[in-house]
Amino acid sequence: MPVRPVLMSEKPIDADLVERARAGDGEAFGELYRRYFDPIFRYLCVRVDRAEDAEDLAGTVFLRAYRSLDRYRERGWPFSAFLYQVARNALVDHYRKRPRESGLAEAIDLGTGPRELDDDLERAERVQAMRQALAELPPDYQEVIRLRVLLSLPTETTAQWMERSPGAVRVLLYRALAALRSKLSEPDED
Amino acid sequence: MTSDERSRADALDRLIDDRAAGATGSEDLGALVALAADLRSDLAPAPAPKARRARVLARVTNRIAAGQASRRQGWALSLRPAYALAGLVLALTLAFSATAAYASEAALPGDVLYGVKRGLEDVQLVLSATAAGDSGLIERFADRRVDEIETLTRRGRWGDAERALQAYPEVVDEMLAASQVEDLDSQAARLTRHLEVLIRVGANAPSEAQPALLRALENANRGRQEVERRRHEPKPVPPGQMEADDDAERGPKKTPPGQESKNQSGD
Repeated sequence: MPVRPVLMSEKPIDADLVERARAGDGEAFGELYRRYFDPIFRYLCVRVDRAEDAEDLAGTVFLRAYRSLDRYRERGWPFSAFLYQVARNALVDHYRKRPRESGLAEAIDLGTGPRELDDDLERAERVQAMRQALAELPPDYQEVIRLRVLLSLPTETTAQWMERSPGAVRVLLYRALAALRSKLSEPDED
Repeated sequence: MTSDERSRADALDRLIDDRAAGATGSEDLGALVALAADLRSDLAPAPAPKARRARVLARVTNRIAAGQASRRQGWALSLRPAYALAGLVLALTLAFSATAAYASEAALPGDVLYGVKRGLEDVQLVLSATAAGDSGLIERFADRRVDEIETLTRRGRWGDAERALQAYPEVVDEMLAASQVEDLDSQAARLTRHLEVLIRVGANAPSEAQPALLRALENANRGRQEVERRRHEPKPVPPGQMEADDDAERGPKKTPPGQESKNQSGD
């Protein structure tokens, strides 16, 4: 089903900014950066272990996006979704160069996240259990939880990024959370 | 997928964004909404700090500028012997960051290197360790913005000038927000100069640019009035001095309780 081209932060002038940036207008690209740095950086934060890596990757994403502007055609595909796709490709390269040490490998990942575990052992265990359970879900379940729950993106934007319909995203999220809940309620094997 | 599952999924989607709604419809949905809330609370990443945002932007703009410059260099040097080219490219690569920064100093809004210039300003602010340092930098940057407007209008680039004029109120807001007591005199002088420049610019501005120009003038004036108001506010009295003044108003210092007899006995 084609995805409806309307978006949260995808104001109509995104297309104009892209056109201007393509023509060499650095300010227009700067405005696109200001609009989308935060969601892209936060997405990268939940995908890698260290904030420094997320920062490096964010730089790579915007640089690649700038260099690929000529190849970007809106056609119902918002610029933020284009950036998201560039970010996913950058993550693939990142993992290729630096395989994850966690053993969860392609479990792809919530990473350690930005919040340090505190001294509260109970909370630390709960967080660890959540990460572990999440990492064991199918990739599209993990992704919808990352975008819709952890980044709090609206359903429409999540749909555009994941190239699905909003209805499909709602059902996917319902199933993903139900599966996560079920995993968390499984008895601990240890 | 059953219609029941779809309606539960729709309800969950609404409830996730509206925790204040309270009623969850069913125990099962309530548990999923609570799970989503726990995930957000424990695992959601914080917004990117401003310093990080500025650092990445500076890096990206530098690399874009470096790429553009090396393409230009490659074209210009294509007829030279390969070894000379290799040496020059190496030298350029090593020197480029500084070159890009230098070249960007003269960049105007709408120029390719303008992003580098603004990115470097952000980096300077990030590196400034004191409020006084921030305030000084912001004043200098404010002057630059006004100079850029004047240069753009002199060159007839009214489209870019109009955009720069539209951004000017933010410049004033930043100046006022960063203002320190010791900067008020220099800020007043700067804002007076801004008004003079803007009035000069207005003499030749086309009608399309007039609304943005008028707004910029109003904001420069608003900024100057606010600075004047702050300059004439009574200065806070240092705590020690306040105590002395209070004592003077209260009359002769009283002998602390318990010391009367000691003083008297000394007589």
